[in-house]
Order: sequence, then structure tokens, then C-alpha cells
Amino acid sequence: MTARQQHQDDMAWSALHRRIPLATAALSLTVAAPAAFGVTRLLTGADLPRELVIAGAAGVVALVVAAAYAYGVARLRTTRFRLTHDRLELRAGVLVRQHRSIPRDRVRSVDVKADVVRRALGLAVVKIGTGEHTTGEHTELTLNAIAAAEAEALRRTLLTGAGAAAPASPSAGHPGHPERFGHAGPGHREHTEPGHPGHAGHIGHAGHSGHSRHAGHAGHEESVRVVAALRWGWIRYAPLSIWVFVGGAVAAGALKKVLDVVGIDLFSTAAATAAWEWLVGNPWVAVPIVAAGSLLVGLAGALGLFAESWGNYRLEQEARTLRVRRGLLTTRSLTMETRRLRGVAVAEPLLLRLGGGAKVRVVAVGLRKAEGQESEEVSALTPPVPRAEAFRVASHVLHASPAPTPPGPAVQDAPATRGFPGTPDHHTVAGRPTVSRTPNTHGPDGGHTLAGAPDAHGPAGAAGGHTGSIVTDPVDARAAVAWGELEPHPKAARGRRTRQAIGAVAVLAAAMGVTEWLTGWIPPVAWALPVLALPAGLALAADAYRGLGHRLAGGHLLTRAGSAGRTTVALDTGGIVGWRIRQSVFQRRLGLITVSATTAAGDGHYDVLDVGVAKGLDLASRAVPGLLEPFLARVPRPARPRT
Amino acid sequence: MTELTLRPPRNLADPRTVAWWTVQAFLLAVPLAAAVLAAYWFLTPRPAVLGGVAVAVALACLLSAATVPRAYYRVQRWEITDEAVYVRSGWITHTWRVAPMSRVQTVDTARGPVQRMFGLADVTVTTASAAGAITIEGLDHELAAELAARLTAVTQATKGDAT
Repeated sequence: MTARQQHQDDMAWSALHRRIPLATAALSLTVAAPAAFGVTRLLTGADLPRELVIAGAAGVVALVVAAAYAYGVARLRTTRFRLTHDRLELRAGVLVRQHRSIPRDRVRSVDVKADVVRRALGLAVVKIGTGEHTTGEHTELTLNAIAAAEAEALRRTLLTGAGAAAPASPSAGHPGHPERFGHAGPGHREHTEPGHPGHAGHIGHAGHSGHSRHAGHAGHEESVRVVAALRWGWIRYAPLSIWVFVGGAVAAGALKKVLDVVGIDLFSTAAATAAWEWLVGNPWVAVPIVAAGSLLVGLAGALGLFAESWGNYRLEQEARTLRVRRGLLTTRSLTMETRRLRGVAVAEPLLLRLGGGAKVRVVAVGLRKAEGQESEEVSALTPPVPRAEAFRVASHVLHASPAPTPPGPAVQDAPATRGFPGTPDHHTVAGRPTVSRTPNTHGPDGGHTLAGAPDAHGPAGAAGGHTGSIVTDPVDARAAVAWGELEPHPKAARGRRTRQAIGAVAVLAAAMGVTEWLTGWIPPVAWALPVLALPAGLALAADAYRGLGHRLAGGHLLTRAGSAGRTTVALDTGGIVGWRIRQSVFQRRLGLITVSATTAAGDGHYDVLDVGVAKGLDLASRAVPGLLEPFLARVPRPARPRT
Repeated sequence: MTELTLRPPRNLADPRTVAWWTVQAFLLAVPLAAAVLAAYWFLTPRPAVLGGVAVAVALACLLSAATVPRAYYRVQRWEITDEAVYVRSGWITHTWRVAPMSRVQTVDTARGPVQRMFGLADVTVTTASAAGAITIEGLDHELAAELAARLTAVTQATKGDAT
């Protein structure tokens, strides 16, 4: 143990911020106010003197606020945390004591959030994510709350070039020179680069190098590159979501809930009854009015939500991290290590797509799941933005993620005597090419397109040597591949989607028919539903087929699918931890398979839906050379499948 | 003309697996069939048509318990090489799973109560993916233990967290 480490292990524990009781007390007003209102109504109804009513309400408020303040004090007294050389430790718990300790090299994301109250008090909540799928739960450590400046310092220390957090590769060659990160001179720490996706090239592969720089200094010297920043014009995409249509109903439901809590029953008043009767009496006037009102509320809600969620939005690239900052009232900042990135997803839900917009999500290891009340996915990198902007940001992020080097000594070096029982004739070939990818080395022309990164598979054709049967096309390293140019899937996939659409409509019609036959409840107007659903379903099926596509480019597996929720994913092939290949009865008849790349990041698996058998297998074997080849075979081509 | 396909993994489960699955299927099917017949006998006025249906359902339960394990045994195959774990399963939907050894995170063996009577065990291999673990069912328990030990040794030699 070094002296420094000894020193750090003896380091004192620090407390949370002393203004926490104030914050909890202020936040408790949201509970206290409706409680006071309810008490007031209750006491007013009981015909008590006015003074008593006021005293009662004030008493309730005082009680709630005092309890919250006391709880804040208790939390402040019982919570201690410290950052040592290699661990972050937390002791907390008012009633149940707990001691959490997470190794710093497991820290994968840092989330800093401050709502209005905490911002006013200069506080911020820090969530440190180590998210691991294997344990079945996302391990996360929350510091609620520390001073905003302290939160920023902790964020930098944990993720930005801190010595302890870097992988142990002291001789990795790149000292942590800030000059590497773009073109920033000393007086030029920050700059935007609108419309120049290509310049990202230099940044990408910094993450894996070992920074020996001490945590305290590193953060301040590294430049910040703004990948994207909010343009208020983007708010035009905010209404292009399903929330506009259901927003009114949701708002009405929420309002009723609030009124229920304070004890007002709006629906039994005389005015409400009269209004209802008028509504029923004049459906041709009332229905458009209600629909328009609902639409207006939904529209206002969507715009408001966009403003609150994405106000002050900035996507920043730092030396080893990617950072999303957003929030008008409640500010949020999510920082993730670039070496945990495994790709990006560009989502184009139907409405947004019709309006020419798209959203970008990150595919990263160890991001926590969104909590119930959060309006955006944690993985969201951009608000709804113009399509071209989305793909520009996505391309930039792809270059920011260094190819993860598969861990460990090459397993293939294992001596051949290590055969497993029960595998009498297993394929073990000495000296097979490694699966591992060396980190990309950008050529001068690298980084200008998605596929600009030279392909790191090396001459994949060499992998064919040991099986003798598999031809693997070496991917052209300099092939410039645009996002849109994906390989289409067989026509059989379109037939499948069409039949599914027809089947769904038929099931709907049959259910309505049976209901009509048994009960006679179906009004004749309702039969318009299946009649209208058929063309809509067929259109969606055709659109879904057009959306299907895949491609292997620049060390990324690209796959696109979906109509109502079309998503294009670019998954780093170095992040693929296995394959799952499925074929249903129907797919068997059509000669299709679904190839899923399993990964530790994001959704856990990304699917190439309904691809031709040979094409899909070839794609998988090229994406991760050496993994699938031993299990492939060539058989005489069967009769041409029906298309 | 030839076409690229996946070849089946080399190994079948232990032959005792058929007996184990059959016993387990009967443990489920016999009470189910009895319940159907009992419900017919005690809860209905015993119309002949319904009786036919009840007998047919009961027979179908027992018949599938006798035959399905055999069919499953034939489609379920596994293989472990020095580089990867390869498993095929599924009857209506075929599923092939491949996980490279370098990305295996944990290896577990599990033995159910009935399974133990047949001297069998399952080996479950997990990777960092949320897409689910790979399970090889119905191995001789000594073979399973040996496989698990070897897999663990290989994966422990792997640095990093296999993500």
C-alpha cells in the first residue's frame, strides 16, 4: 500500500450539505398545502369559528414542515460519504443503516440533477451508476444532496481522467494532453462546430488510454466540445407525439385526482350535470369543442414538457466522457464514459417521421432505467430534432466511442488438450485469428462519415482459413456508407407483414362479429373501424417492410426496423457478446431468420428482423469474425422459398 | 448450389433426460386430466357430448406428456468448444444461441428435486447481455460439474468485465 493510498484510506468522511433540512422542508410544502386545504374544508363544513379553522390549517402545515425538517436533519446527521483512491463509499440510513461501497473503476455514469428548490439553495443530487445486468438490479449510489459545485467536482473526478478510474495501462502511450481533443489552443477551451460532423475524428479514441494525470487537475485542462445545443425552433417537433392526442384526457384525469385529494367532487355539482346534459344534447357541436379543447391542452402540455425537459440543452464531448445537460427548471446533467458506449439508436416514431424529425438515444453499458416520473429516457441524447441533425449527432457519437477491446487474454491460446468432455470432435484450431479488434487508427480521411472509421476487423478473409468453407468478404475499410443505404430484406418479409396486418384486422372483425351475435351491442357505425383499419394496417405493413434494413459498416452493425416506432441502431461489433438466432414456423416456410446481436448495453439485444437465412448468417459471421463460423455449414440449396 | 445454414450442435442431452422430462410432464398432466374428469363428473349434469370432450382433453394431456419430452429431446442440442458455447432449442420456434467464451460472466449448475433422482443437472451460462442466459438442460451431473469448472476457469482467465 502506497503512502498516498494510506492517506486516502484515512480520509475523513464528508457530510451532505447542511441546507438539506431546508430543502426537504420546502419540498414538503407540496404535501402540506393540499393537506391544509383539506383540513380547511373539513373544519368549515363542521361549522367551527374562523380562528379555529385557520389554526387547524396552520397546525397541519407546521406539523408536516417540521416533520420534514426533522427528517432532513436526521438524514444530514446519518449520511456520510467519502472518495478514496479506489472506492466511493456511502454510509446512510435513518432507520436501517447501510454501507455502500463501489469501486471507482465500476463507475459508468454520473447523473447530476437539481430541481427548482435545490437549485435555489445551491444543491444538487448526484446519482452514480455502475449498472450491471448480471445482478438483476441496477446498482446505483445516490448523494442527496451536496453543493452544486461539489457535485460538479465529484463528477469530474469520477469520470474525467481521474487516475484511479483509468484502466491499468500506464504505458498506453497517450499522455493526457488536452491538445488531442480537437483544435483548441490554450485560450480556446470551448467551441461549437455546427454542421461539421467530420471533425469529430480526433476525439474518438482517447478513452482507452491510461491517464496518469491526477484527478484534481485533469478536469480543468481538458476542452469541452459542444456537439449539439438547443435551437428553440426544434420545439416544432414537440407536438408530434401521441401525447398531443391523449394529453387532454391525462390532464383531466390528473385534475380530478387532485380535486379528489382536497375533497372536491366536480362531477356531482349542478353545473357539471347541466354541462353534461348540454354535451349529450348537442353532439355535433360538443364533440368538436371537446376534441379541440383536448388537443389544445395536449399541445400546451407537449410544448411545456419540451421546454422544461430540453431547455438549456447541450450535448458535450469531453476527453473521456459524453455529457447531456438539459432542463429549464429542473436541471439535469448525465455524464457517461465514452468507453462504455456501444453505439447509438436513431428513433423515428411515425408522427415525428412524417414531420421530418428524429431523436437520438445512446446505446451504452450501465445506464440506469428511467424512473416513473421522468419524461425522457435516460439514454436520450437529443430532443426531437430535424432528421439530418439527428444523424449528424449520431455519427459524431459513434466516433466518440472507441472500439471496446474484448477483455482478457485470447482464449484461443488455450492448449488444444483442453478439450471438453462431450465434445468429441470440437473445432479447436491453433493460431486462429483473434476475435479482438484493435482500436481503430484513424486515417487522414477517417471520421467524415459513419463508415469513415477504417474497419478494424483486419483482413477478415483470413478467418476463413480454419473452416475452409466460409467465405467472409473483407469489409472495404474506406467504404463511405450513409445511414440510409441499408440492404433491404427479402420480399417474403413484406408478405409476412401484410398477412399479419390482415390477420389482425380479421381478428378484430371476428371479435366484433361474435360480440354482435351474442349481445347485439355493436352499433352499425362501429363496423367502419375494421373497414378503415384494413388500409391503415396494409400501409403500416408496407412501411414496416420498407423500414427493414441492415448493414455492416465501419465496425458497426446497422439495423433498422419498425413503422410506428422505427429505429435505426448502429451497434459497435466489439460490444456484441453473443448471438441469438430465431426462426419461427412461419419464418421457416419463407426462408427467413431473425438474427439478434446480444450486448451488455442498451436493450440487451438488437435484432435484424426477417433477414434471409444465408444473408443473416453471413452478416453475423462477418460482424464478429471467428465466433459463428465453426457452427456454420453449407447445404444443398433447398427449393426456392415462396416469396 | 449450396446455402449457408447453422449446423446443429454436436451433443444431445443425457438420454435419462427423456425419462426425467416425462416424469415431470406426468406430474403435471395426471392431476390436470383427473381434474378435468372430476369436474365433468361432479360439477355437470353429465351430458354425453361434454363427457366425450372431457375424456379427449384428459387423453390429450396424458398423450402429450408421453410424447412431447421425446420430441424436445431431439431438438435440444448443445456444444461447447474452446471458443464458444452453442445451444439450439425450441420446437415451434427454433432458437440458436452462441456466446463467446471471452464474454461469459457466470457459470451455474442447478438440480431440481426430480432431476436429482435421475442424476442430472443443468448448466446455465450468463453473459453481460440482458437477453437471457444460455441453459444446457439435462446433463449428467458429473459432466455438468466438470463443464462448469472448466468454463469457470476459462472465464476467470478473462480480464475486465466482459461487456
